[in-house]
Amino acid sequence: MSVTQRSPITYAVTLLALVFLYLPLAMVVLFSFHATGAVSFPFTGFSLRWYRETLGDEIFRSTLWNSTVVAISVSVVTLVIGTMAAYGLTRCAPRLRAPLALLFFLPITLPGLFVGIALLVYFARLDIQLSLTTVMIGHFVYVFPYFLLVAKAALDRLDPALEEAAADLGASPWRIFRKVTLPLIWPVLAGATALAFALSFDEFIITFFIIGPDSTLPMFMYSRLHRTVDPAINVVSTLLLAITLVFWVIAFAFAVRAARGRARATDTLLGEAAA
Amino acid sequence: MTSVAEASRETRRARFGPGALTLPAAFGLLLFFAAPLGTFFLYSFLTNSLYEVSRPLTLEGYSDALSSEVNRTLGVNSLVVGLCAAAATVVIGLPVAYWLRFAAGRWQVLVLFLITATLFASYLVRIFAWQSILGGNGLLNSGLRRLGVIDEPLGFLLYNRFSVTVALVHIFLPYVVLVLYAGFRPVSPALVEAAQDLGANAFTRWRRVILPLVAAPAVTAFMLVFVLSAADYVTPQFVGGTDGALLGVRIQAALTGVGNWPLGAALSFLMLAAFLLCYLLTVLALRLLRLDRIRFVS
Amino acid sequence: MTEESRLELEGVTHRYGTVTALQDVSLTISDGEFVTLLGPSGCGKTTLLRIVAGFIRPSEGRLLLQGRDVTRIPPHRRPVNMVFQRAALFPHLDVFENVAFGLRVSGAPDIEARVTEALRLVRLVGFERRRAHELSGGQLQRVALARALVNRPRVLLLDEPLAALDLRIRLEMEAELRRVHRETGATFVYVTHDQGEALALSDRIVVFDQGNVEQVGTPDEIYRRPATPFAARFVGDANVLPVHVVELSGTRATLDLAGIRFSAPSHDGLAAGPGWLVVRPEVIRLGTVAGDGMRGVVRDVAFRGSGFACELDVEGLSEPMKAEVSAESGAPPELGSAIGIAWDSEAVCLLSRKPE
Repeated sequence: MSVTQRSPITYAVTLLALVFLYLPLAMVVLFSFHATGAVSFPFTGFSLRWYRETLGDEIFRSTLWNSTVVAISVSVVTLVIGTMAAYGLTRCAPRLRAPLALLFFLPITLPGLFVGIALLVYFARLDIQLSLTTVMIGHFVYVFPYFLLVAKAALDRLDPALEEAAADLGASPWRIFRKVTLPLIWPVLAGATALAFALSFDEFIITFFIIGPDSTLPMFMYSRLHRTVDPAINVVSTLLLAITLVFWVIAFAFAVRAARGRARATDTLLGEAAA
Repeated sequence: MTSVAEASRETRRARFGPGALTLPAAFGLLLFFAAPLGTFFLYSFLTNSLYEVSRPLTLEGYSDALSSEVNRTLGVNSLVVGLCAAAATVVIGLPVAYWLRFAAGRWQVLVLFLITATLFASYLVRIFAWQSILGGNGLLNSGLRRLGVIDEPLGFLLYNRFSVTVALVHIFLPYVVLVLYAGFRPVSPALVEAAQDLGANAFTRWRRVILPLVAAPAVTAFMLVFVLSAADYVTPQFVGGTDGALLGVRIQAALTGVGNWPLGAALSFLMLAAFLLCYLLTVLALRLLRLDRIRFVS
Repeated sequence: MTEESRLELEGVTHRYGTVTALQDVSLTISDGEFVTLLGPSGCGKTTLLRIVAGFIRPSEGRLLLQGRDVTRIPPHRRPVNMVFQRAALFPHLDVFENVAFGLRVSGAPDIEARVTEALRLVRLVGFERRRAHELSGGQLQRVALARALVNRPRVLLLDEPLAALDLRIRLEMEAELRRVHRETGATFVYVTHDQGEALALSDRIVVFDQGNVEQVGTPDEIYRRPATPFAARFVGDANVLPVHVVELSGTRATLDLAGIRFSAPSHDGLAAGPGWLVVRPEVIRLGTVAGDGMRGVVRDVAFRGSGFACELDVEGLSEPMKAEVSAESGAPPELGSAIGIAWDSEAVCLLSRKPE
């Protein structure tokens, strides 16, 4: 039991921080409905005009589609490879752990700029055409460490006694994974996949360098940003916010569920291991 | 120095599943992360051939990078903006993380969710938002004019290092709150109460107990923001103007605009070297203060 | 006797939302006393301790130290120090700096000397450079004790400091605490759910149940003359038997238990009618079945080192009785055998039963 302290100053700072974070975003959303299309006061009236225009825009729709395809592909690949890597990392020989961890987590510390231009140069050297595939590769490098972070944390929290008990009851490692480990960590993995989707969908910094003729939604937005007055930006922004928010809610819900469900799940599962 | 219980836990785990499962990931990252960076590093020593490189090996890239006045100014700018952004986010993030850990109660989950939800508010959207807010005809100015507070728009709000810093703080604050919150987790409320019990007022508590205990994660968060801010090339493009231009823009231009790859590579690795130096300095500082590896007793 | 450390609680009530943790608690603690707040989890003892420390402001009531109302004073300005349940030593400081913490904050002049004195008191001289994670449980608590005492507080509060320790260390620490209390002469307010600790350490015990004070008294008083069935059961093992008080005359009372007449000491506040008889297991004498005496069947026997704990099914009683047979009195009773039950009529305690 921790008795919470009252702390008016930190409370005030937290409140201000929340306002600071949300106000600009709220403004963008608000002005996507603005009748005149200008982003300044006074606010003249509501209109869905810009939504209709943008959603009808062929280029917008195709970039939306591209971003979705890329994000789904990247998420799936990351889920499979990342889960394997997390599992391997937490269970391999202790000597290997440090160098592997270094390789896996280094991309987070490196600004996207360097990753992007290194890949650009690399693909040029190897004569690989820039396309959505190269984008997917770049996204994978970016997203993988985040996924690994979450998956590894979940595996670390797992009580080794559970898997030992399953082995004691005769289960093979693959069976243990299927019947004991996976059922316990799947909410976290689902959440991490949703996270991967959101990260990929929104990625711009690396994408900018390795994109080919097919464009993604953030690139579309970037090209529009160069035009000074374009109400479409507000719309695209709001849509982007909505999409990534949905996936974040999903990821968060899974994380909360995982935190609660752990205790109950263990009892029923061990019966399955021996079956 | 791990305890017997920890060491036994690790060995218990090692029995299940081979490390070979990491191979696909390791292969992928070696192929598409380590190799590209290595190649790129090599390129900094080659000769510029306009969107290509050629032999002979040379240090031209580096000399070009270091000799230019513009580069030096941009470098200093990047350093200053990076430091300010990092300092601001950590200074704001610490009270927020403290509140979440010790004073939030049942609001903790909700507020944590709200803060981290903005993590996925698109990077470009935020830049655009600040551009809209701080511009001459933007929300802040038009709002203030409507309210009659000012007659002329405030010019100093946009297209300078200040606006770039504000936008960067907005982008990185959620990350920092997360990292700091994780750093506060192992700090038991009893430690704060013990400090109170022993006569420390709020200021003394922060100085002698709280800050030392979260120094390591705070420095991590600081370095994270510093590095990512200094290397940012998009934010300065839209809200930086000339005063707020950063080195990242130059690097990007060198690669995609001018086509001088060795220069771009040289600039990049000089930047990375600078980051590494800063990182080593902070690690050293923490070690000297004996704040680098605090073992919390559960 | 000085009034320097007199601690008074007046009508202290505290609620968490709709739950009442403390109900109208009033208590006076004298200078130099060792008082234990004893009770099960959730009884409010820790809440009361934290109110004295200043971490909780009570919903109602006052707290007076040396006659001065300190209810509203924040913890860092009270002349009171606390030993936390898990020591709560600062992990980034070594032992010396932990102990010196309060002195540095208050700007005391002779830090080195006082810290050494405090460490000598808890017998940890030489440990100055160690860190929290290098100390054993018992050592952690001793440092925590030193850290609190070095500031010479008027009142020392201890929040279940021995709860996380192994049994042997706990017993050693009990002796340490007694010694430190004697040497410093400070007022100790101790919280625990372990009645053994309470009996061994205290000058007085305050027994709590669900926010109410059940009884206040010396360990001897509470053990021999518990005021309520709860106090009887919580402090020491007890058989609390339902009886009917038939007659009261002077210093003795006659009562009916499962059809058999017994005699017991009487005291003020007793009335004829339903009551409870508290019989401690160690005062029961087991022997051959006497004609008109109480009889029972041995249901379980457990070896306890110094004796045997026996459980007996008794005619006329719905609950089994617990008896203790010392190892010296020979072989323990046989499982399943019929046995006669008797006790010294002076060594029991009679309580009134409140009407349902």
